[in-house]
This record gives sequence, C-alpha cells and structure tokens, in this order.
Amino acid sequence: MKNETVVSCFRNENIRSTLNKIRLILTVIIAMIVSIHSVSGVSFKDGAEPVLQQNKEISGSVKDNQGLPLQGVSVVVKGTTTGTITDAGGLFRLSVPADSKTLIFSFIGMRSQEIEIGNQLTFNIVMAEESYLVDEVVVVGYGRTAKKDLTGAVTVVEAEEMNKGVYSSPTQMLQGKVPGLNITRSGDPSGSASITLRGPSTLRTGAAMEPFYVIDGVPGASIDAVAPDDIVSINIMRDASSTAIYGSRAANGIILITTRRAKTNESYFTYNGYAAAETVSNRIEMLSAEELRTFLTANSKTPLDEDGSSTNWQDEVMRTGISHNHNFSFGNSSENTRYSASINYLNNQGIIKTSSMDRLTARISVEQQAVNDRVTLGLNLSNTETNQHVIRQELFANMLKYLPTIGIYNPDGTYYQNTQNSNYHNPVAILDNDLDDRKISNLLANMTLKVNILKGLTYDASASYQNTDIKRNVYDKQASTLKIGSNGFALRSEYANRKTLFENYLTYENLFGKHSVKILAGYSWQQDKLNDGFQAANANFVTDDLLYNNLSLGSSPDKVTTQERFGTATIQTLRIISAYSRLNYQFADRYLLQATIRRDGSSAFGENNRWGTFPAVSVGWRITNEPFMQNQKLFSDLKLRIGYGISGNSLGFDPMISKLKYGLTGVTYINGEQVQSIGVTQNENANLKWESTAMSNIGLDFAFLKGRITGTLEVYDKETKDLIWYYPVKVPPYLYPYLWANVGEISNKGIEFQIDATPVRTNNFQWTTSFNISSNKNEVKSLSNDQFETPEIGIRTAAIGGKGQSGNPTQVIMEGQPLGTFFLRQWAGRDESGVSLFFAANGDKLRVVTVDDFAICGSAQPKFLFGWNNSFAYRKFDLSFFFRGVAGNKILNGTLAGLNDVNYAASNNIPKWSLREPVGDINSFYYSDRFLESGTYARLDNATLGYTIDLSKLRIKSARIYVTGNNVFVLTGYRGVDPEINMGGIEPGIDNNNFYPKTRSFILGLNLNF
Amino acid sequence: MKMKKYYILNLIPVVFLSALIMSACTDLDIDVESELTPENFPTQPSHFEAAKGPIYSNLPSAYAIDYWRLQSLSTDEVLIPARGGNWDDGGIYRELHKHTWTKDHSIVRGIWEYGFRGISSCNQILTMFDAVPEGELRNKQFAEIRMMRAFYYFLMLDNFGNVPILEKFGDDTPTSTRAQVFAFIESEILDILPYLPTAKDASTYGRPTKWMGHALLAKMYLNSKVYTGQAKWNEAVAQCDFIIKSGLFSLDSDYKSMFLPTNGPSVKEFIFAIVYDAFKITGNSFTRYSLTPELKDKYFLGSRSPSNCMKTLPEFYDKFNLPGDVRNTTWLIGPQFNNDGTPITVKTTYIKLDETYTGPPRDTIWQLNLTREVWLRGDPLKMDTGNDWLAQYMGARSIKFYPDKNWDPVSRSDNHDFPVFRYADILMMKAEAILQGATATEGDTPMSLVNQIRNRAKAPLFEANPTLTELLDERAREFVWEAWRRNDMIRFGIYKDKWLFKDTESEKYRELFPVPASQINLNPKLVQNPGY
Repeated sequence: MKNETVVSCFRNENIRSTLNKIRLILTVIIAMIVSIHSVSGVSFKDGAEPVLQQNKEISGSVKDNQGLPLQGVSVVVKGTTTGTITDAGGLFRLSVPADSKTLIFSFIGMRSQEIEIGNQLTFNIVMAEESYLVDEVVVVGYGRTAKKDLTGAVTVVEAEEMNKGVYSSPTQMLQGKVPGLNITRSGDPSGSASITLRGPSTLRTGAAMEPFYVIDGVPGASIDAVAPDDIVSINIMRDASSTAIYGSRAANGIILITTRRAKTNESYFTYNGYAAAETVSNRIEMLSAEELRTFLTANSKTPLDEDGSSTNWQDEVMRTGISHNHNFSFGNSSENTRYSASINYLNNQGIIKTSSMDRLTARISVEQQAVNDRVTLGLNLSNTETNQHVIRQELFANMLKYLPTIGIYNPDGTYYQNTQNSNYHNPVAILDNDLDDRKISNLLANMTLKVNILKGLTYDASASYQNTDIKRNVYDKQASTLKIGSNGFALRSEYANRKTLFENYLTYENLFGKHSVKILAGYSWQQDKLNDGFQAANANFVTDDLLYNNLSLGSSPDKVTTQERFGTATIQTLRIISAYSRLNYQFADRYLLQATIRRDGSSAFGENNRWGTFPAVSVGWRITNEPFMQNQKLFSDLKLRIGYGISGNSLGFDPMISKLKYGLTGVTYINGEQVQSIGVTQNENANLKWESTAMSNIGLDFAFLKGRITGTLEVYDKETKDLIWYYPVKVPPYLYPYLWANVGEISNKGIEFQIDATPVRTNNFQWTTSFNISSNKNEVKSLSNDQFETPEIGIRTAAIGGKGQSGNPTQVIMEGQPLGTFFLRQWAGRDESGVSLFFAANGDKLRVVTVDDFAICGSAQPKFLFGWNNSFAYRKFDLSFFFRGVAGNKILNGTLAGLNDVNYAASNNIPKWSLREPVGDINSFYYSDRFLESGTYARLDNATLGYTIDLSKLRIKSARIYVTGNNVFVLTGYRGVDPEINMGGIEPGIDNNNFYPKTRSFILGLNLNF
Repeated sequence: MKMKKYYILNLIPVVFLSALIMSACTDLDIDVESELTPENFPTQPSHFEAAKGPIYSNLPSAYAIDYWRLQSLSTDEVLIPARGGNWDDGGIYRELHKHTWTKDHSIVRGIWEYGFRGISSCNQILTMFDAVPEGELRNKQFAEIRMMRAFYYFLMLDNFGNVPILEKFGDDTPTSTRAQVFAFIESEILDILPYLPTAKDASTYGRPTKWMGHALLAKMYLNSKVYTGQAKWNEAVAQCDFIIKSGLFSLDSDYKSMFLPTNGPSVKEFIFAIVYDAFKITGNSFTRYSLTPELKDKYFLGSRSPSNCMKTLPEFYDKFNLPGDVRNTTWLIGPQFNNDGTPITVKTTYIKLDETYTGPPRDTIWQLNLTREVWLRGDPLKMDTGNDWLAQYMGARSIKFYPDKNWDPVSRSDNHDFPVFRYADILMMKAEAILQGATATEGDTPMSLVNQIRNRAKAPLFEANPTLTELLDERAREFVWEAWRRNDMIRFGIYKDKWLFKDTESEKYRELFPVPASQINLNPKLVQNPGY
C-alpha cells in the first residue's frame, strides 16, 4: 500500500471509495495471514489432533548468576510456540516433539540464550543480566519496552517512591518527584491539584493545560477513579518523541498509570490503611477583638458591629480534620487465569467544618487465556462513588475580615448578620446555611483481547466505556445572606459524561541477527458525550427542613433566573478517530531508533482542519555498549538520546467551538408577552485547528559505580503555535464580536536533572537519596498575525476585583513576556499625610494613577523546581524524608492587600501585619508591587518512619507500621498563608482570599501482606 | 474438516475486529443534539419571530444604565462621586462629569458596541429574511427591522456623529459624515413609513410604529442644526403634527404614574418605550442606584440594600422651584421620614457620622438627612466625597422612577419601562421649533403647548410665550433623568459650561464622543472624531 493511499483516505474527498480500497486490502491481508497460519498447522496443540510425532519430556532449572532461582523465564522450542515458564523455584518441565532442535530461554532484562537440545533431557541454565537495569520494563503508549531501550524523556515513579499522604487524587503523589512536572495542590478535600508539565503552552485553561492520562491502557480515563494504593507505577512521558503516539492530545505530556496485577504464579492479599489528623498549617493572624477595639479607639472609631463579644472566626470555622483510608487488595495468577481486585475507602474530613469527601473505589481485573494460550481475554472494571460537601468561596474571605467584636448569634439564637456591609457574611452562618453537596459516580469498564497470531505478531484490541455521573445539590436556607430574598433556594443537577473507546493495534517484533525490529500499527475510535443531563431550581420554601430534596415545594420558580433554573450545559459530543504507527529499530544494542506517526481526526475542529498528522523521531546511542567502552570501569551505563516530534493540544474543548451557534440573547416583549429572543452567540471558524507543539529533546542517561549513582539530564525546546484565543473581531463581517482563532505562539525551554544514589549499602543499613531539579523558561512569542491582533499592550488579565479596583488587571499576557506576568501599580512611598503614592508613567508620584501607569513587575513562573528525597533502612526500621520547593517565582498577595484597608478597620477586620501601616493611608489596599512577593520556598513535604514487624507466626508475610508527617514545615519569606499558590492556568500565582487553607497532617498507617 | 475448524477459530477475532475498524473509519460528523446551529435554525417561518428578537433584546441591555449614564453623567443633571475609593471605578464617572473622557473610556466603548451590535443584528436579520417573497408581509417585516436600525443609527448619530453607514450585512464601508448619516436615517424612515403599523396598543408596545418614525424624524429635525449645520424647524413641526393630529396620544393626567414600576402599554403618552422586567429583561436599576440603604424599609425593598450612588447637582435641583409642581415631589431631600411620619433614624457615633470629628467617642441617634449640597471631603483628584454618613447622604435623590418593591433582590433590577419618545416631548419640541422660528400650525403657540405640560404638572401656567431658556428649564423639569439632557444642552450650546466639579469649559469637540480606540484597532477604515 502506497503512502499516498493512506493519506488520501483521510482527506474529505473520495473518503468512501478510498475506504473501500482499504477494506479490500486489509481483508486480503487478513485472509492471507489467516490462511497461511492455518495451513501451516504448526501452531495449535489441540487434543483432537492426531499426534503424528513422538514427544519427549525435558526439565531443568534457571538461575541468575548469583545462584538464585529465576521465576517466569520463558522456555520455548525454537520456531514453535511450544513452551512454558519457570516456576517460583526456577524449575520447568516441558513436553517437546522428539525432533526439536533448540530451546530458547528468555527473560526481560537478561540475555536470551539458545541451547541445542540434542539428546539432553535436563538443562541447568544460568542467565546473565543484560545490565544493571535488571527488569525495568516501562509501559509506553500501546505497549511496553525495556527501560534501556527508551529514546525519549520518560520518568517512572514506582509506588514506593510516591508521596504518602491524605490524597484524593494520584497526581498529588507525584509532587516534586518528576523534574519538569509542576503540581500545586489545594488543602480542599474536594479540590484538585493543578498540573503543568514543562511550562504552560496554551492560553486555555483546565484540561487544556494538563497532561493527558492513560490508565491501564485506557486513554482519557478519569484520574480520580484510581485509588492511590492500587497504583504500582506512574510513567510520565515528557517529550514529544515519547508522547506523539497520542497525537493531538499529547502536547502537555502523557501520564501513564499502571495498577496492580497479579504477577505470574503470584497470590497476594494485602491491607493498607491509615488514619490521619489534619490541621491548618498556617493562617493570617487577624486582630483579636481587644486589639481591634484598642486600635479603633486610638483612631477615634468604633467597630461597626459590636456586642462586646470576642470571636475568633478562624477558630470558629476550623477544626482538626480526621481522615482514614483502607485498601484491601488481593489477586491470584494460575496457569490460564489471572485476577486482581481491590476495594478502597477514603474518608477525608477537611479542616473547615462541614467540608468532607468520602470515596469508595472497587476495582477488579480478570484475564483468561484460551486457545492454547494464544488468545487472552481480559475484563477490567472499576467503580468509584464520591461524596463531597463543598464549602462556599465566600467563607474564606469572611473568616478573615468579619469583625471579631461581634458574636456568632443574636440573643434570639439566630445568626448575627449585617447585610449593609457588602460581601460581608457571618462565616459560621455560611457553613450552616449554604450547602453544596456533590455525588460523583464513575464507572470504567474495559474489555481487552490479545491474540498471538504468529510468532512475534500480536493483535491487541480493547473496548472501554466510562460513565461519570455528577449530581449536585445546593440549598441556601431562608436565613442565608448569600442568596438574599430567595427565602430558601434549592438547585439540583445531574449530568452524565460518557466515553466510549475502541482501540486496536498489531505489533510485530523480531530479531534479525543484530537488528531488532518492532513495528506497531493501530487504529482507534473514541466518542465522548458530555453534559447529558439537566438542572432544576426553585425558591421560596416554606421550611428549610427538606433542604434540596423536594423542589416542587418551592413557590417562586419565577424568582430563579433561567440560568439557575435550567442550567446552561449543552450536550457536547466529541469524536476522535486515529491511526497510528511506531517503528523501533535497534542495531547491536547500541543504536536505537524510534519513529512514530499518528493521524488524528477530531470533530471539535473546523471543517477545513479536522485532521492532523503528528510525527516524531528519536534516536539513542548506548555508548557503554560500544567496544571502545568495554575496558572502562567508570560508567555502567551511558546513553545519549535525541528526539524531535510534533504533538497537538485538543484537550478541554467544547466540540461546538468551531460552529456557528445561536443562543438566547435576552427576552423581548412581543404583544404583551415576554419571549426569548434567539441570536448568534458564536461565530463559525471552519479553519480552527489544534494547537501544535514541536519539541526537541536531548537526554543523557548515566550510571556510575555499577548503578550506585544513576541520573538523567534533559534539555528541551518546546515551541507551540496556533494557540487558540478568543479574538475580538469586527461585526460585520462577523456575526458576533469574538472569534476563536489560532494565532499565537508560546515557547518553553528548559533543562531537567535527576540523580539517584545509594551512598551507603551495608547488610544492615542503606541510605538512598534522589534529587531532581528543573528549570523552564516560558515566553509568549506572538499573539497576533496579519488577520487577528491583540493590542500592543497585551491582553490584560487577572482582574481580581477588590475595592475601587473593579476591572483593573493584575497580569498581562504580552509578547516577549512569560505567561503570568504581573502588571501592577508601582508603589512610590507615601506623601506627608501618609497616603500611598504610585508612580505615573512619566515618573511622577501620584495618589491616583490609571491602568496606563501600571508596569510589568515580575512573573509567576518559577525559575526552578526541585525535589530531594532521602531514605534510610536500618534493620527493620525505615526512615524517609522528602523536601521539595520552587524558586524564583512571584506571588501577588492579594489577600493581604485586600485586608490591609486600615482606614476601614471599623467595618472589616485587619491583619496584625497592618498595624504598622499609617491609619490615614486611604490607598493602602491597592494591589501594587508592594504586595508582589517572592514565592520561593522549601518544604519538608513528607517525613516517614516505619517499622517492619515479624508476624510470620500469624501467617502474615509482612507487616509494617509507619508514621508520616505531611507538610512538616515550610521555609519561606512569603507573608501569606502558604506560598504554594495555584501555578496552573493563565492567571497563575495570585493569592486572592479564595482558596481552602493549606493543611499539615500526621498519619499513622499499617501495611499487611498475607 | 479439521483444517476448517482452525480456520474459523482463527478468523473469529480477526473478523470481529476488522468489522470494528471498517464500521467507523473516518466519519467525524456529529449530530447536534442540544444547540441551535444553521442546521436547525432558522428553518421555518415561526423561527423568524424569535430570530428578530436580538434587535429588541439588545435595546434594554444598555439603554437605562450605560447609555443613560453617558447622556446624564456628562451633564449637570446627575453625579456619581467617589466615596472613600468606592465608586471610583477607574474614574469613569468622574471623567464624564468633567468632560475628560478618553478614547478608551469603557462606557463610550460599550455604547459604540451596543449601537453597532443593534445595527449589525438588523442587517443580519434582513439578510436572513431575504428569502421572504415580495409583498406586503415582506414590506412590513422589513419596515420593522429598518425602523429599528434607523433608531440605533440615531443613537450613533447623536453620540458619535461620523460613523460608517452599513446597509447590508457584511458591508465594510468607511466612516460617513454626520450629515450623510442624518440623510441616511431620514431617507430610511421616509421610505418605510407607509408600511409601519399604526395601532397604539399592546400589540405595538415596545415595537416600532409609524408614530415612532414621526417622533424620531421630529427629534432629528429639531437637532438638525447640530447634526448638519442646517436648521429644519418647520420640518420638526410638521412631524410633531402628524402625531398630534393622529389623536392616539394624550398627556396622562398623573405625571408620576408614567414612571411607576407597573408602567406599560396603558400609558397614553408613550410613543416608544423600552420594556424592562426585573427578572427577565434586566438592565434598569434606578431603585438600586438612587436610594440609600436606610430607605429600603420605607419602600418595601426587603433585605437587600440599594447602592446609594446617584445624586443630582445642587444647581440642577434648584430648577424644581415652581409652587405646586408635582415634579418637585420626585426628589428626596432634607430630613427623611417613615410612611407613618416618624423620623428615619440610625444609631451611630460621631466619628462615623463625620470622619473629621476629633472629640471623644460619642454615640448619637441621627436622622437621615439628604443635603442639597455635594462637596468633596476625600481626595479631590478622585472627586471623592469621603465615606462617612455625611458624605453618603449628600445630594438630592430622584424617585421619579418610583422605587420598585418587586425588584429582583439579587440583581437589583427594576420593572420600569423606559420611555424614549413620549407625547410631552412632541409638544415641547413643537413649542421649541416655533420659538426658533418655525411657522406655528394648528393654532398652537409655544405658550399653549408648554402650558399643557405645566397644567398637567399642576405648576403655574405661562402667561406669555416662554423664552428659550425658560423652555429649556421646563424640559429639564419634565424630562429629568430620561436621557435627553445631553442632547438638550448641546442644542442650546451649554454642554461646554462649568458645573459643580467641572471647573473648566470644555471644548466644542466634546459634543461628540470619540470612536473607541479598540474599534479603530479592529477597523482601520474608521476615522476618529476631531479633537481626540
């Protein structure tokens, strides 16, 4: 089949006829394979087939070069599929045809051996390690490979290396572990972490900025559906040569998660559990009632709300949160069947009263071999039920600024409220009056099929179905001040997101002398149907007792906006169809080549640009395998890798983004009736296409001293073009004043370094340490082209509001600057009356400046990220501690700025920090570079002490108890609660009063292995 | 036979999977299930009524707040000062008051976009309706849309003057002169008048009628000298006469009833009004911006407080000095009382009352007292009155659009419909045109016409023809806060004057707003108005 045929298949014209051609060709090929296979008749050993030849029994053992038995070594008669694998004692027994000539012993990480059979009946084999990389097998897209054969930037994090803590999502376990992976997490039990890999490369937020997840081979599976304890390894593929096999969704990197499966002949039953106590790690110290009264009296003022009380609002809404997690997992593998299962329950109380999250996850995976072990069928099922009690955002600002001089309750037992003071709500009342409960169910079913068609040729197929069902229940009680005038407001919604996926691919693998070849070709079809559901709301309830449970009892649906009453979600159906192929070639175990190509079609893009091709190529040179390196003792491994590839970003799209849409454009009065009018709400852009990222990567893997020190150095250059942004356009010719268009370019360049070492290894004591550091330089290269323009002054963003500052930006997206560039007033000291002055553009110092006087003053992008882990093992004790941090970034401390309104301390409490401010400073609260602080920090993220107990008498294989401290301390100069501020999205690094406080937790855990 | 069995065994998965591959292959066309796209809208005649909607739903989106602010805050009629930094909002209100707005002013930009969004909607819908066959139905549909386009063009003519004339959707014409825009609107209305509906009832309320066409022409001719340099007083009178002689309109006996939240098709005087609804057609917030929080109980507003920002200038308030004039009672000023006559009081402290108080802390009971005066005690650069009780209660408040107890307590939107053209304006325009030299018709004199207004207001009648200044003051009293003050002041040449915190005379070019910088960026064919 000529290349052109393939390409033209995916062009719009003549699709049908080309398809027919392909069908014909494929059918012929398949028929040929099948007929050759069947006619040759060498394959299936079926009892019904007459035995034409005499068989003989052979047996033996396989050991490694230290004399230990090797389990799972494959023993095959050359040229046939007759074979077996060794048992736990390294022993095997096999019945072979009498005329069999050669046995092949192979085991991943060991050198394969071919042994002449002759008349011998017992074989005692010693296998040699191929290198120190004994059995490191890495899951890559659509397959596995030995780590030594990798040519891309891939980091594998094994379960034992992952962070331990009260985590609701597995991503948190990777924080600080992978160079280039920037994770910022929230203290909110229902919150999610933000993740960027190798710098932000899009102007869109949410999924568009995060890596793509592949869980047990299912692309796009929900990360939250995996219990952290079930994970055995996570692979982070960072460069385009590794990720391009996932084409249009790979631009932000790929995270591959592998859950535990029973290994060959393994039977296990384990329990992992912990209980944790969480407290707030730090807080902004506000004035106590007494301090505030003193301060106000000194300034001839009195608190706006005063009943002689002394209330510490932060204490009133916070608590020590207790969390516990239990994971039971078991599995077994026998001759033809393998299963593993687990059940996990997590209950995570937040440190804010009433917030909580609990989750039950059940997972089972079964595999059955059939047809003489040539066909393997598998079924993986997992189901997750999550309940969340979410805290309203308004709480976080009010627990700080609410006056301490007033009590929680009025004398009659109702909540004290002051509705005159705007955005001012009794924090305890918010907890009680305003409920937001969510229930999320996630089902993932995946059926797999693997057929060994011929030696070296396998066919893999899988069909998966994922259904996420999200129920939301909101109730604001009659006394709520967040929903004033509603007299009870209830909202319920339920939406389902369903994803269907078929994957199938052929893999061919063979060794021709010194040439090793592996070819993959596949096709996938995916359809995601999101937001299939509804919303309903009502107001004016006669009682709060029923909460949101009976909407029909409300009597004022008219008081509820159309948006609240019916929601605005629309069904979004996205189809992605792909063909992909990969070639791996190795010569003499020294020269490695990998080439991949993926052709993706997505329904989300404009008619003219639905199909894209994503190629990648990479080469590796295993220098230590060169003859000239054989005499040196310094390096046990040295490999140079160079790769280049193009991947796309089509994550996080409304599939209707390129189409002309009509929507409600308000209500109009027609003949005495108010009628919905319908107009254009989105322009068509038939040329809209994915953002594409070209990345080159150079990597060096090295190992010294027989692997006691290993490390990796990566340098990359990532250029993203066709960034999608919402451009203002002229009406007419456009129907709507904004258009989604591909224009901008963004660049990320960086360097990543990781080193692992075992400085001490004796019989009783071992110390291992690993350190990684990465640096990324982000730059917005362009935001305009000849058709679409952004103003020279850039796109002013992050208008975070605040008194008298509505609409004022705090950041700017601008050519030549990184994403997250701060754009602020420049503080210029104070005038003689103590009022803050700011620099005008012409250098004058003024009390009042406009946006045009604002200036660029630093970026939220960190210069460095680092993680440093140390593990010690002494007899039965183990101890580890893990530091991580970032350096060189700026944070806008908007929380402190907003609270620092000393002039209005009578109506909003102020922090202790503000006591140093002159009282007459009417400009004290403006966001300015005065509140732009260094975000550098180092955190002792995790310290764990464990002890392994010998319980073999109780038939327990192993038992370990441990204590862990999370977020033990932070070294930072930052004045806010915590310098770990969301670094994702297009408005990173802003601390604005709106996040769940960070926590510190102490965990007591137990691992049992039966 | 044996062979065949294996063959089949082998074939099962292969056939199964190849079928899978073949079935789907490369089809990326997704059925649209829950949205309106050209595939499903507008495809039937019944869709067109909804499709016409954007012309009308755009109208209330800015008229009673942002468009109103541009017409009123840039005059001596309304003031929003900063209050201890609040309500400074980047200086947008201050710049209007002092005539220092720039081409980046957000309200100016918003109104340009508002007008052209309306024009573009009209053009788009005209294109969409092009399939309607020739005939009466087509003429009527087109006339309605073109009348609305003419109205949007009038807003652009009055505020920006020189704008591009876009007759068809997709037109990309350069800026025309103000006189050309004037001629375009005039010819459009004259062309469609025969096809516009003539009824005055609920079926035409809030929609264009022939009478709206005449009223708009009258307004244009009255301002013709400003717009084109050429006076058209007689033409203005003639257009007013069409409306007067129709006999469909008359003055409502109760002036204040026109501005109740319940106003609607039954108001005899409304020739064209923009319909608002507190929940469904939002965009009118007089209750929110005029009243103070302490007045919410008196006006039954529930628990949500008004924002307390709009007040009038002392000298403007002084125009309400005619004895017996019911229009005097549309203002709140001085000590305030509850409906039962008891004073509205607040328990407070001296320092809260007056930030400059330096004596010992003392509590006090204070009666809400709205002063005539407004003066600056905070940062004068920000036009800041300070934020103590004295500052908050400076200035007379309008309750002409009577506080709406059925407002939406969340968005604080009102139910009042907003009159654009009403019969009183027709009478006053005719009187003014005659005073300016037009031939009197139908036996009307400026005095007889203005006295109809005065009579209804229960104010003393003129005993001779009013002077032009008296007529302008009468317009101020009659049309206060109806978004005509800027238009009137420009016509009378006093828009440049100094007032309250506007301490310099502005230059003539301020009579037009600048073409927003963002629009010139998008469309280099636009020509900036002189002076900016």
